Amino acid sequence: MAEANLRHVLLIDDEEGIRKVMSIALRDAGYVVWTAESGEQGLEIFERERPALVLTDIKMPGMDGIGVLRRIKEMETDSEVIIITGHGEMELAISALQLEASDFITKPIHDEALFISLKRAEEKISLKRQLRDYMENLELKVQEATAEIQRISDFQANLIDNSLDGIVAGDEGRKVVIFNDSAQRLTGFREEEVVGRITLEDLYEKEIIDNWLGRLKQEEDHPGDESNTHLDTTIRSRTGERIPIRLTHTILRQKGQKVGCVTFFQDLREIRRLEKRLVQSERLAAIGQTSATIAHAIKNIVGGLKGGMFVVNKGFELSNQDYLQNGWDMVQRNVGKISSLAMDLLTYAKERKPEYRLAEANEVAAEVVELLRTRAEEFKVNLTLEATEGLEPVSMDVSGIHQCLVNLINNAIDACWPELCGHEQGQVTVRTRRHPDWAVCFEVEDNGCGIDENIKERIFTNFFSTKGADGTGLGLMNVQKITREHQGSMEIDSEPGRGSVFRLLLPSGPNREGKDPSELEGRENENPESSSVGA
Amino acid sequence: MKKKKILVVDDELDMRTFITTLLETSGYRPIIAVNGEEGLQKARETKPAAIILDVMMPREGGIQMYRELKTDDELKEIPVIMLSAIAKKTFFHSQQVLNTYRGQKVPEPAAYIEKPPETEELLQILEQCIGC
Repeated sequence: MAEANLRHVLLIDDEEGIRKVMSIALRDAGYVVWTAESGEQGLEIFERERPALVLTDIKMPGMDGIGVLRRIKEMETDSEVIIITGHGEMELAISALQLEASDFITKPIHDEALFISLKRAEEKISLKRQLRDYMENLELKVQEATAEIQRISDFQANLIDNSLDGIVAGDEGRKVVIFNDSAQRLTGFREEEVVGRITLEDLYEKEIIDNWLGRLKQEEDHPGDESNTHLDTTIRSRTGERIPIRLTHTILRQKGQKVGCVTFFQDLREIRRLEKRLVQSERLAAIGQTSATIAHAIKNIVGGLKGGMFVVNKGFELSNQDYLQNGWDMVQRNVGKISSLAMDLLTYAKERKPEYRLAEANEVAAEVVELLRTRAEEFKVNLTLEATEGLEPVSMDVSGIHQCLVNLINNAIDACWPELCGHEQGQVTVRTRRHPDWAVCFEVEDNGCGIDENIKERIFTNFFSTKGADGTGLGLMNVQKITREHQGSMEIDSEPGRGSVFRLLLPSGPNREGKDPSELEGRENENPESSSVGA
Repeated sequence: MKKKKILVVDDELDMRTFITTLLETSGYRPIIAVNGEEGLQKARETKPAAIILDVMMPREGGIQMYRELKTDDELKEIPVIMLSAIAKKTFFHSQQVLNTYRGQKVPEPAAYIEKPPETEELLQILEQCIGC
């Protein structure tokens, strides 16, 4: 509907003189004027022309001014009606105002009063129109905003539902309000079974709730401290099973008010399964890398065995007792070699179960030094032990540490080959020492060929051997593996041509967390295949 | 005919036992040394027909002993069969490097056999070396 022109006026009066005088004045002031001599005629014109302003006499034969006013207001236009009253018609004027007349003016009509009244009516219409526009605009804005909120809410709901993390939110009373698809999949609960029905306490361990409450309290003291911590804990499934999860949680706020808590978690069984698979594949890859070296070592031993057989055969052929004895010794030695190679390999390839007990570092070191003295003498290397007295006993897997020291000392003896280093006298010194950060330090020092930087990087990472056919490339790998099981550490100082120092550092106690390290290894081995996610 | 003396220099007992048995049963007289020092000494004492020398030995190593043999006027004509776990190619490369490094030219050994040696191969090579 086109808006009525504010300058269009309908003038209704039964007195012709008044119509004439007033219409002249109005037209002079720039209004477009229609005139009517009765209420009925006035309404007719009004319906046709829809003027914004109506001036009507109140006392008229037939339909009077009140009647006109009433009918116009019924038509729900924004037109304004000004009533013209005679003297002593105040009561009528008041009832006209009650019927929402814009104003009244009294006869005799002064131009000034007329125009003020008209101007007010115009302003009123303008205001009404602005208000209406504003309201219409507002409705549009609200619609837009609602759509946006809906969109964001859909997006968030989507995000929550499709998250790979389980998401569970609780209100201030810790009653569950959000339970996403991943959480349902993991726990076996359906959304409708938990939302509004159970609390976070029903799902999580008490320590998590306490932690959450603690943080609530803490945040009151230090607002803004929203640091998320990863906690390894469990969630209860529908069947009552406790599923290991890694959880973070945060406090939900609305206008600064805490309204609840939201928790995010991942299935640790899945993570652990993947970690385990990674470790296994690394181990297999490592074994693959070294198989060429092993093949070489086996080839040598086979050579020894063949040689032994040859000598034994000659013994039979010539009935020579010496050949029989020598050949048989060779066979036995080489069988010994192949079995120790197999043991080396098994130690690396297989999970072995270390047995920890309190042991004297000095005793272990002395045993190994005695064991290797013959070999050192054969190589004309001087092997000495410098033990620090009064060391506390340390928890260790004695046979593992034994093996480490055998490896390190053998390496040190090998490093003293004059061909490699040119030293007159090979010297290997084994020490037990105190250490500021560790319970004990085993040190094996040689004055051999040393290790250059290039090789130093590879001695642990690859199945790397500098000894040609004599090395399997497994020794230091095993040393490192056993050291790790002890949660210990290895240090190497070496200078090419001057010698090397290998340090094996062991922590006090079974390990620093007070857990048996073998448990860590062992636990991962339980039901490796049954722990996949029931998705 | 007098049995030909063959000097066997090897630190490994297994290898010594095998080679001496092989030589003894094939009509040679093996002489044993367990390192380069002893090997040089016995070479001078016995003047063997050939030397079977292990490259990788502790102390006086095979390479060092070989160089000393070849720079000793009394011994340099004795054919040497090198025995090693090191691949032939690697060994000859290292010899070239050493020659350059020390500024002395040492001739290549009469033969080079990778460990473990085959009986027939060893005997054949030995015959060739003594024959030449």
